[in-house]
Amino acid sequence: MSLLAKLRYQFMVKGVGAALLRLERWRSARRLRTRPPGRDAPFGPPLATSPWLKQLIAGHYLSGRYSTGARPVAWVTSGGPVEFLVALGYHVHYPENHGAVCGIRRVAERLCERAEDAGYGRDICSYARTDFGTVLGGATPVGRLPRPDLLLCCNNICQTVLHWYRVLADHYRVPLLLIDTPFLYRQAHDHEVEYVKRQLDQAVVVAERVAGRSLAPSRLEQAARLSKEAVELWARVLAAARARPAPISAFDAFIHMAPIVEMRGERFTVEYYRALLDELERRRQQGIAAVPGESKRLLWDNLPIWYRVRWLATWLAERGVALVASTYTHAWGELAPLMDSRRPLESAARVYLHPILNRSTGDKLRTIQQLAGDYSVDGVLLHSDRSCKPYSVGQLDQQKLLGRKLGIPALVMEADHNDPRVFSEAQTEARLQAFLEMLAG
Amino acid sequence: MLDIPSRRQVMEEQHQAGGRVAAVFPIHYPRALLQAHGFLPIEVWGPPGTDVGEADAHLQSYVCDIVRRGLGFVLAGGLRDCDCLLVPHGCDSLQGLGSILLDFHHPGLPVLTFYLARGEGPAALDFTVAELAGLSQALADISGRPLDEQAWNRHLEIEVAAEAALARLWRERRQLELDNAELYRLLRCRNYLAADRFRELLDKVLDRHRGAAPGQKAILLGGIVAEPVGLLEVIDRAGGLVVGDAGCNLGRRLYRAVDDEPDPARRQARRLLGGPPDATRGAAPSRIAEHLLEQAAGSGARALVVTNPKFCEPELFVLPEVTRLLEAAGLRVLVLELELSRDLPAAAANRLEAFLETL
Ligand code: SF4
Ligand code: SF4
Repeated sequence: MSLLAKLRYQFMVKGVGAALLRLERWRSARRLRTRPPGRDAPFGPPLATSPWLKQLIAGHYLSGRYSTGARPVAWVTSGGPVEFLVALGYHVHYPENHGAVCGIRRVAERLCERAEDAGYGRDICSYARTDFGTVLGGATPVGRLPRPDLLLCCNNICQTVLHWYRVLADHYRVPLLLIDTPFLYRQAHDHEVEYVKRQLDQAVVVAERVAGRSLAPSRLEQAARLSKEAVELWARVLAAARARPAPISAFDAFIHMAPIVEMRGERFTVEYYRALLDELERRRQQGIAAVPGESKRLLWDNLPIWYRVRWLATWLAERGVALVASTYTHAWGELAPLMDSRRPLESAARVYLHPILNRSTGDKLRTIQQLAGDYSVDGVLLHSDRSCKPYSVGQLDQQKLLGRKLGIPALVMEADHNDPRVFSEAQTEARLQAFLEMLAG
Repeated sequence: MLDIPSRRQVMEEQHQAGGRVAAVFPIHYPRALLQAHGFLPIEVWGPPGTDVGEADAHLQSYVCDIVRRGLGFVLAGGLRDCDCLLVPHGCDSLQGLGSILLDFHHPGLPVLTFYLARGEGPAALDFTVAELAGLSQALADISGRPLDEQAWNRHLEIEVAAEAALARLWRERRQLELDNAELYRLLRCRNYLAADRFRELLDKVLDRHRGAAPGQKAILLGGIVAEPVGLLEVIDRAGGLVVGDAGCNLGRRLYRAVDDEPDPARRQARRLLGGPPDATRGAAPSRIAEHLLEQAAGSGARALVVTNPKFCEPELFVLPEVTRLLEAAGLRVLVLELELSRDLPAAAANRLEAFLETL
C-alpha cells in the first residue's frame, strides 16, 4: 500500500466523491418528489429510496476505482463469505454484480464478444465472459475496476466460478482462496460443515497475510452482526410484497439487492434497508402498488434477464401483472436464521453451505412451492438461463411437478441472463401472452 | 482383432459369480472401494448413440451430451441389470443430473453420490475420508455386508498395478503394432473391466503384439472422452499415432500409487485428490498446460488433439489459456467439439486430417 494512493483515496472517495454523490442523491430525490403523479405508468410511483441506492452503488465503484494501492482489494464470488474480508478492511469487488451492471447498461454483449475473440466460447456463463471481456481491456460503465490482491471463490453457487477464478488467478498472479462447499443432495452432514469451517480458518490466515494486518475478533463479530442485520432486513423487504397489492415488485428487488450482495457487513447497508423497509411499510398502509391495478401475481425463478428487465417489467405491468417474488432475491434473505454473529466463522460454514444453488433440485422445488404460497402467486416464470446450468437443470421437471402435483401453473422461458444474442423478444412475448391467457382461464 | 469381452458379458459374469454391478457416471470415484464391497463399477459415458428423446423432456438443449445421453440411457431402462447407480460430482451438469435422479426420477435402483473435494490440504483429505465412509456405508446397506478393509487394500493394490500397466503401455506404444482404433477398443474396457482383468489383458497385448506401431505422427489425445470411434479411424488413416492420453476418461485417472499409506481410506482419498491436473477438478490452466507439456515431452508427441462434447464448461474455461501456453511452447493443438454419435462428422474429419497433414 502506498501513502500517495491512500491520500488520493481519502480525497477522491471520502472527500470530493462522497460530497458529489450526496449532492446527486439530493437532486434525484428532489426530482422524484416533484414528479407529476401517474408519470411512471404502468408502474406505481418510484421508490423514494432509489437515489440512496444509486449513491451506494456509485460510491462502491468509486471506492473500487481508487482502492488500488490504498486498500487491499478482493474479488469475490456472489455467494462468498465476505465478512472477514470486510473486517480486514478489504474493498470487495463482485464480478457478477459488475456483470449485471454491464447487462443492464447493455454493454455485456460487447464485452462477451471481446472474451469470445480471445477464445472463450459462447457456451460458458455470460457473467464470466463479461468479466473476461472487461479484464481484457473492454470498457465498462463503471470506469475502472480495481486490480485484485486476492481472489476468493466460493463454489456454493456453481463450479463455474471455480474455473472462472482459476483463469483470473493465472491472469493476475494473485492468491486464490477457494472455499469448496460440497453440494447438498440432502441435508448437510457434519463433515461437510467441518470442511467448510476449516477452509474458512485457513482463508483468514491468507487474507491477513495479503492485507498485512490481523483480524480483530471484535471487528469480525461486528461485520457478522451487521451482515445478519442486513440479511434480516432484506428478508423483510421482500416479505413486504406479500401484501396485496404488492408495494414492491421483484423487478425492483433485482435492483435493490445490490447492497445485500456486495455490501454486507457494512453499517450503511443496514441503514439503507431499514429506510427501504420503512418506506414499504408506508406504501403498504397507503395502498401504493408497484403495479397499479394488480390483477395477477407471479413468481420468478433464476437470474433476471438483465438487458430486458425494464422491457419485461413494463410488458407485465401493462397487463396488470406484478412479479412479486423470486427465488433469486429470496436467496439472500432466507439464511438469516443460520447466522450467528457470536460464532462468526462456525455459523458462516453452515450459512455458506446452504444457498439455494447449493441445495438439491427437489429442495428448490419446495422453496418455490413455499414462496408461491407465501406470496399468493397465480403462476411461476421459470427462466431457463442458458448460461446458468446449476440454476436451470431441473426446471423442466419442476415445471411439470408444479403444474401436475401442486396445481401451480409454470412457464419455462428460454433466455440468458447477460447475453442478449440468445433472447427472442417475439418468442418470449408470444409464450407469455399464451401463459397469461391460460391463467385468465 | 483383440479378444475383448463385451460390457454385457462382463456384467453377466459378475452376476453369475454372485457379485453386484454399480453403474457409474463420470469422472472421479473410488473404484477400489466399490470393488471391496463386491460391486463391479461399469461406467456410463453417454453412451454414444443412445436415444436422447426422453431425456429432452427433462434437460435443456444446452446440457452436454454425456449427461443427456446418460439420462436417456437411464430412462430407457439401460440400468436394468445394475444394483446401484453412482453419480460422482464432476461438474454443474453432473450435479444437476444426480440431483434430478434422486429427487424426481427415482430410476428403480439406489442412487448414490460422491463429492470430489476441489480444495487441497488436510481439510480436503479429511473431508474425502469422511465422504468415502458415507459412500461405504451406503454400499454396505445395499449389499448387506460390512466393508472388508483388507479387500479394500487389496483392490487398491490391483488398481495401482493396472495403472502401472497402462503407463507401461504408453511408454512402449511405439513398439506396439496396434492401430489407434484397436488400441482404444482395448483401453475403453477399463471403463467396465475389473482392474485385475484389465491388467492381464494389457500384459497379454504387450507380450503378443510387439512390432512397429503403424502411425508416425505422434499426438496426445485429450479432452473429455475419445469419442466417437470414427475419430480414431481418421487418425489411423492420416498416419497419426496416439502416444499418450490426457483425457478425462483415461489419462486424467492415472492416480498416484500412494504406497506409503497403510490406511485404505486415506490412501484412496489421497489418490483421488492427487490425480493429474484436470479441468473438472478445478485445476488452473497453467498447471494443466505444464502437465501436458511434460506428457508431450515424455512421449515425443508433437501435437494435442482435444475432443469434447459441446457445452462442456470446465473444458471451455481452460482451453484458451492452455492452447496459448502449449502453442507458445511449440505443441500444436486442435480442439474438436463432437457429439457422442458413432461416426465422426465429415467437417470434423476434414479438420482433423488437415491438422495431421501439417505435422
Ligand atoms: S450465473 Fe450461474 S453459472 Fe454463472 S456464475 Fe452465476 S451461478 Fe455460476
Ligand atoms: S462433458 Fe463436461 S459438462 Fe458434460 S459431464 Fe463431462 S465434465 Fe460435465
